[in-house]
Amino acid sequence: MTVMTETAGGGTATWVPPTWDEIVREHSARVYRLAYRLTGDRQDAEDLTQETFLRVFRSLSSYTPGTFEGWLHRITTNLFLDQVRRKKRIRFEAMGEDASRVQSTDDRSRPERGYEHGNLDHDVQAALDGLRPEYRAAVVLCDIEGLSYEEIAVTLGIKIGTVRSRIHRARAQLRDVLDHRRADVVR
Amino acid sequence: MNAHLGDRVSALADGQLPPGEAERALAHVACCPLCSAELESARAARRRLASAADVHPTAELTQRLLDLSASIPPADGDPLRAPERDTGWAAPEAWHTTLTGDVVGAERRRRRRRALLVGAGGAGVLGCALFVLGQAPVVTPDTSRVSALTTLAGSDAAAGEPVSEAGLGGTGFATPSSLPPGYEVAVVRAGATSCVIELTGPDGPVVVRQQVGRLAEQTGASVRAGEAGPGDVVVLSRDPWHVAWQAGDVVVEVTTDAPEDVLAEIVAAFPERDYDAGVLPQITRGWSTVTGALTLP
Repeated sequence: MTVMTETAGGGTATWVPPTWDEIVREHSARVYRLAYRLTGDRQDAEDLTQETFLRVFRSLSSYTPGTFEGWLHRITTNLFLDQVRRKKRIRFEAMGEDASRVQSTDDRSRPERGYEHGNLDHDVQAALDGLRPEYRAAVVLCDIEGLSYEEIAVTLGIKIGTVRSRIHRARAQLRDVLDHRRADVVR
Repeated sequence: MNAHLGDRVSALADGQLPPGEAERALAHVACCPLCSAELESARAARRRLASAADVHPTAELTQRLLDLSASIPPADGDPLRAPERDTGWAAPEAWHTTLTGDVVGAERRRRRRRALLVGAGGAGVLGCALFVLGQAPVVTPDTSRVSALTTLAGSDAAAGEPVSEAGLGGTGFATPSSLPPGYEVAVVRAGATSCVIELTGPDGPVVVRQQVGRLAEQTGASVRAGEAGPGDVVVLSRDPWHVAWQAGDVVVEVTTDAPEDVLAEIVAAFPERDYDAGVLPQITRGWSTVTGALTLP
């Protein structure tokens, strides 16, 4: 018979909190992959990963078994969307009245970025980069991280119906871009 | 069934429709070439993304992450890491159990939180002490979207008579120390126990409501605001934004359609230690024991 001992700090004798090393080794690849697909940039992905783990470390005592992956998804995605919004605002302020003429609100169109992607998925990442950040987040969480619509809704703090329409519209745009690129290659 | 599937096509490709609806959708696809083609291309796009090559963090990054633990000792009792101080982007507590089926864990968390609250005497958590004493009137913000939209529409005249911004000085209610670019105070209405400040700016109106009392325990997600801002801000609604927090003996609510960063600036413009400025009014209301006990180390 297992004796469950309630301790003052919570938790039971049957569950041992993982060490920091274990957490990093088990989850860093997943967080980095998500960060990379969201930012589309190796340096940005590293920064985002580091910021995510910093948050995790600072609030580790709220860790509970079974929610860690979802928690990491939420932190990573929300930090990313926060950064995008902040950058957008700074840029708008810098450009003053010309702001309305700016097409892309994201800094995804820097030419040197193309070289950072591997050839294999360069097209896919470039197509992702062309999506609005909110749409990109939904479709990446769905197709690359394999989350259900309900999990995505919780992660992004939006309704399931919104998840569905974002993913649908994101896919339609991805398809158009990818088809276009393929046609260019054939030509 | 005649209607085309629209955005349900993606949900169908992802296996995210409820069984009955999925069956009806498939029946429609079987006899509708348009939706059939849509479904096939949704599946193709999905496959294309899923087949993207995996990426891996560099060894240097992994090392930097490992080194994070050297900066703060990993002790469970470390107040820096108490969940009350920084729960990061955690979902509302109520969702955890539903999502993970972690009923035992949820109960354990509740117990742990209780233990932490009991041990938080020195942490200066005023709201905690108010909770224990239970003397302040409980302020329960209406969390519905409709109520937030009503507030934004400006039909909330219950707060009291219009006063000048300077007129707030003697009331114990705070005014934001700074405003985001382009924003200005439009109307200030103040009553005996509440006041409403309306701001106008390029991203739409912002309504700040302050009420004397203690913020009711909410199911909203508690997020940590910027370092300069108040402690825990409870998000009651995201679209439009409706957030609330406890500042001394006042509950502050902010409602706005503006983007998150504008909201964050406004939240940060309210001083966290607001009750320092309002100590005198608090004493006159019989709060001296509370503040006295908590401001001492």
